[in-house]
Formats: sequence, C-alpha cells, structure tokens
Amino acid sequence: MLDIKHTICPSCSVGCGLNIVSKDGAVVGTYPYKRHPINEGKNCLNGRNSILQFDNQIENPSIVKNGELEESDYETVFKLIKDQLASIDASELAIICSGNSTNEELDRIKEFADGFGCEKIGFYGYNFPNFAVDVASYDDIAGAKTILAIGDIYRENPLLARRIVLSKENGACLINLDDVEKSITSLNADEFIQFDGHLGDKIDAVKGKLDENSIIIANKVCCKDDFALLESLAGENGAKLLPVFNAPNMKGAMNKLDSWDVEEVKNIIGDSKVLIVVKDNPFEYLSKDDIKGKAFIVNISNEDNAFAKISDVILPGKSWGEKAGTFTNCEGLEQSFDISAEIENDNLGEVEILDELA
Amino acid sequence: MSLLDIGDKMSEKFILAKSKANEITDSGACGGAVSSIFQYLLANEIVDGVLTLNKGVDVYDGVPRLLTSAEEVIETCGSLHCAPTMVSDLISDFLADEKIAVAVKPCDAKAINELVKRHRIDGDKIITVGLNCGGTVRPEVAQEMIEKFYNVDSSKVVKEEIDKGKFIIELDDGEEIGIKIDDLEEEGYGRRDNCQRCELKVPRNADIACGNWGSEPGWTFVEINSEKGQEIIDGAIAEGFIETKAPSQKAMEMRDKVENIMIKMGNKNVGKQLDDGLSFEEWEAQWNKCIKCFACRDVCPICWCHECELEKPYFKDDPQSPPDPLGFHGVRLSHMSPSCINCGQCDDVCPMEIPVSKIFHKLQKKYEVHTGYVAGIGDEKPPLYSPMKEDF
Repeated sequence: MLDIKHTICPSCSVGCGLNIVSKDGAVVGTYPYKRHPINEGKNCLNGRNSILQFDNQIENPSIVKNGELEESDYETVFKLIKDQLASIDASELAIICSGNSTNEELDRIKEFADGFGCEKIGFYGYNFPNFAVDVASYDDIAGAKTILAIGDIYRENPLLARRIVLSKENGACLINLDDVEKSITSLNADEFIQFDGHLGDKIDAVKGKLDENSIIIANKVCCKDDFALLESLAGENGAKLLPVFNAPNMKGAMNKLDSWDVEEVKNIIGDSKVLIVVKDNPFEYLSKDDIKGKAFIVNISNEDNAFAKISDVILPGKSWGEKAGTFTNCEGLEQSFDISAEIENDNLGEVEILDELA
Repeated sequence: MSLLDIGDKMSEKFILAKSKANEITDSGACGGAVSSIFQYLLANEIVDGVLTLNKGVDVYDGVPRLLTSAEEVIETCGSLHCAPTMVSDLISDFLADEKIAVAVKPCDAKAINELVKRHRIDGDKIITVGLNCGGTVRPEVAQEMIEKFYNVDSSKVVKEEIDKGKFIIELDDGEEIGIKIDDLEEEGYGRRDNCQRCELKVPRNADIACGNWGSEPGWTFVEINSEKGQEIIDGAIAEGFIETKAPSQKAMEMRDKVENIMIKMGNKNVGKQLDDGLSFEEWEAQWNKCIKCFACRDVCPICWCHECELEKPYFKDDPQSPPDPLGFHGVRLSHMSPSCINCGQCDDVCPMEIPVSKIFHKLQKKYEVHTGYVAGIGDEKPPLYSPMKEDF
C-alpha cells in the first residue's frame, strides 16, 4: 500500500516541510511538499536523504560488550539501567540531549531529570549559547537591504539561502564572512571577508555597513564569545540576528535546556558515573578519549555509529518519522507533525522509555 | 494503433458522460464521470489501484493517494489547480508491478508516455484518465494572489477553476469570483511559468481526456483517444456506472474555441519566456547559485538511470569547494533535453530558484524543430535514441 504523508524535515533547523513515501511497511522515498510555506516543495539533498536514517538502524535493545552490540530485551536493559541509577547520587547523573528530540520529548527528559534530582541536563550547542535576543524571521530576510552571512549558508542551509537569493533579486547586498577560502555563499556574495579563527578580527570591517534594515545570519560560530560579538554587532546597529542550527529542534532545546560548549560537556562527563545520551552522537564534537570509560553510558538512539560501540546499553527509541510532536525552527516557529513513516516497529519511543525509567 | 489515431466518426470519439450514482453526481465535478469510471475499474478488478489526488488541509494541498477499493473513490477530489503534483515517478518507482489507473494532467500523461518508451512503466498495466488542464498555480503564489487581487481570505476558498481564460475561485459561502489569467500573469502571479508555456491542454496522449470544456451542466466532456479508452467507456456503460450521450455541434465548437485560446496563449508565452529569455550573462549568474543538490535530477520524471553518470567519481566535486554546475547541467541537458516534457518540476524543487526548465524546454523546442520529435506524444522514441538517428 502506497502512502504519502507530511512531516517536518529533520536535517537542520530551517523547518522545511517534507513528504514521506511509505510502501508496505517501509519508507521508500520522499515527495515534494509544495503546500509548506517555508520551502514550497523544495528540499536540499540532506533533507531528501534524511530517510536514510531508516536504513541500518539499531533495531533492538542491546548490550555492548567489547565494542560489539548484543541484542537483548527491554526487561534486561531497563534492569541494568535502573541498577546503575540506584547506585549513584543525583549529582553523578548527566543527561546529554540534542536538537533532534521533539519539544515534548525534551519536556519529558527534563521532567525525568527533575524527578531524579539531576541538574546536569543540557545539550551541545555547537558554540551557540543560550540567548535572550529576539531572532529575525524569514520575512525579515525578504525585506532586508543588507545581509551579513556567517558561514556557508548556501551549502548548509539551502532553503534559508533561497530567502537570501530572493532578497538579492530585490536589491539586497550580501556580505559573507567565513574562515574558508571560498564557498558557494562567498561566490554569490557581493563582498567576501575571510577571517582566521575568530570573528573578532573582522567585525570592524562590517560595522559601518549594517543598520536597522540589515540582518545577520550565522550558521557557525567559533566560540560563545564570537556569538556575543554578533549580538553586540546587531544591537549596536539595530540589525536583526538569525542564528541557524544544524538540528531541527535546537531552538526548542535552547528554550528549555543549557547549551554547553565542548569544555562544559567534558567537565560534565568527567564528574558523572552514569551518562544518558538521547538522540545525539557526541563523536561529532568529542574524541573517544573524552568519553570512553568515564561513565556508564546509556545511549538512547537507533543510529548505528561509533558512539554506539562504546556505549554500555542501547535503547533504539524511534526515528522522527515514527512519532508525532513539535519542532521549533530557527526563527522560533513551532511546527507540529504527525507520524509520517508507515513502518513496522514495536520499539518504545523516547517518552515511553523515560516513563519506564522514572 | 497509436494514440490520437482512432475514431473515424466524431460521435465515436467525443461523448458527454455522467455518473449513474447520485452521491457521485452530487459531489464530483461535471457529473462525476471520472469518479464513476474509477469505481468501475476497481469494482471489476480491472486495476489493482487508482492513483489520484487527495485534498490535504485545503485546496492548496494536493497529496497523491492510491485507492484500492471502489468505496474510497468518493473521498478523493478531481484536479487541484493550486497543487502542481507529478505522479509518473510514483508509478515507475513504486507501482511498476501493479495494474494502475491514474488521473493525469497532460504533463503527467507525457511523462508516462516517455517512461513507457523507456520500459520504466508497462503500457499494458496502466490506464490513463486525462483531465483537461489550463495550468497550475504554486500554492503559496495562489494564496498571496487571492489575498491581493481577490481581496478575500485565501482560507475561505473551497474550490477553484480555470475556465474561459479566468482563474475562478469559489468561497465557502458560495460566492464565485473570477479574474482574467492574463491580468494576473502580467502582475507576476497566476500559473507556473511552464504552465504558461504549455501547448497541450487536452491530454490526447491519455486513454481518455475529460473535462468541462464544451460540456453541459452535470456532464463531463470525454474524448476517447485509444482502443483501451474505448473499452473502458464501453465497460463502464455496460456495467451501469456511467451514462453517455453525444455532444452537440455547438458544444464541440465551444470546446475547440476554449482549447485554441489556451494554446495560443501557450505559444505566445513560449516566445516570450524562451526566445526573449535570459541572456548568457544572466544564465551564468543563475548557474553560480547551483549547489548541485540533485533535486532537479531527482524530481525529473524522465530522468531515471539506475546508475547516474553524474555520481561517478570523475564528476564528484571537492566537498570543500563550490560545485561545478556547468558540467552537471551540461550532462543533464545532453541526456534529457530531447525528452523534456515541460512539466516544470525542476523549477518547483530548485532551492536556489534557478529556472531550470527554461533551458531544457528551449532545447527541446529546438530539437522538435529539427527532428519533429514532440516529447511525451506518440510511440516513437527521441531520434537520438532510436535506430532512426542515422538520419539526423
């Protein structure tokens, strides 16, 4: 049976719509979701490839021994986790979340942490700190006279870049700041400024070019201080700021949890005996030495990757297409989605897992 | 026998048809003949499924849906002019082994025709029920256009129609408002660019072509284009699903007139958009935007190779460097442009707003002039790919 359902793309924080095609209990493709106001049926390669996460998944609760996953069952794995949790103080538990979870799941994880008395709950924010400033909307891009793009927005967030393209057609000037020699964004920019390491050295070069009709779009910062520089730059010039993240609900996570940098994550892991990681791959920002052997690792994710091999137990949870919920995109818009992938999977979702562990 | 080549007498080829089921006559467009034909095909197990369009959240949201029982037909809708879908790849990718009837716009029918020639769809397993098409409007454009020019809340629109050169909306209180498409398009709104260039409004490349042009109230005008189409109509009449009658000469003339007006508009826009289109320098700026995301290739209903050359190592770009779009589009143009059916899906999905279809369509039109090959029509393959190629 062929089935096509709407969902929200999980590949970055722009919040594009995507149609999932399922057939006979498996996800087989994507289909343009042209009614979606953000992307009108346009999806980047990452977005269309997001269905690959249904391939090569960890399908069962597992125990990891000598780097190999051994299929287990919920009862056994839950008992192992509960025994570990019973043996520690609340201060010895850390929970690393991510922007891959829905708002509802993050609320449940926070509730679980509060119930346990755990204060070390947060996520790796890729150097974006929690911030209070109101973010710009996509409509603001359309009306901007000057756009300062930090990073390669065209390659990494193409459906946001589309807004820049349309704004340029209306006469907007694009300035690109990046630490690479050239990129698609730099090729399309009216002005390209390369920086080395930190933004601070080049901020002065753009200060006089921004005003209240300007917007700063950043999809990468080198450190939390660099983000503070951007906040100041926007504030001083009356420009609007739009940080863009690499996970679909990182803005939602920002609204609820602490955003950590690498050093903070390392310190938190170092002080913990049990580490619960929910839908995250710490190897994207930590080395094996930073994490292996430091704590009992509960990995709630179905992603079969190197981090799974150094975890102690694995609960697969569910992929985004198998659950309903909400994501908050980078402009702060909360979008709900229903189950889109009509596939056969009896695994417990993240909320059910935490209900069981609580 | 090829398409477009049956029916010596007008009365054999053109009929007016309506459903014999009251619930369908009341809810379906123009007498519900299409719905009843689908019911006939499913109830008599002539097909395993019917691929049609479902209205999603509103009239701007069309979602393809596969029906497997006659009872489901009533839940679907006919055409949605603000939902520019394409269904041929759903058939070739996911339903190739099944016997399918499908509701098609002319460009859907063209795509299916090209895929049958390429053995991606089995012509014996597919029945194409064509729906006359004056063009489609992008959903976001439609909503903005309705708010701006019709001065109504776009969420109040329950039906839309393109008829007699007008885009007509019907509101939830029954009010109808129509504005000339020409006027809307002069303001940069209206139909998608490729629809403005389209010269096939009645899908004679489908087994039957249905619509309201030339029909009487409560009846669907049906043009029978193939032997298969004739069998379907005969069967649906014999099994009591539809009733038919001959159209009047006046109705036929009216239909021809509407069609010819639409074709003339298409011709005019081909010249305007393609011949007087972007300059070389403007195209260069367009290609610079390309991120080589493969969206145009992936959505193209004709492009289907199991192993795409463009994914071979010698076409791979350095991930740290900007892509080389000219190689990418050049290969695609040489491979696909002779068969471009001007469906505009590549424009629709391009994240960078590159008007890809304009260069593909332009080359196809040149190819058509030199070889006589019209993509998506008839049984012949593009000469480049046929034994006839030596002649060129």
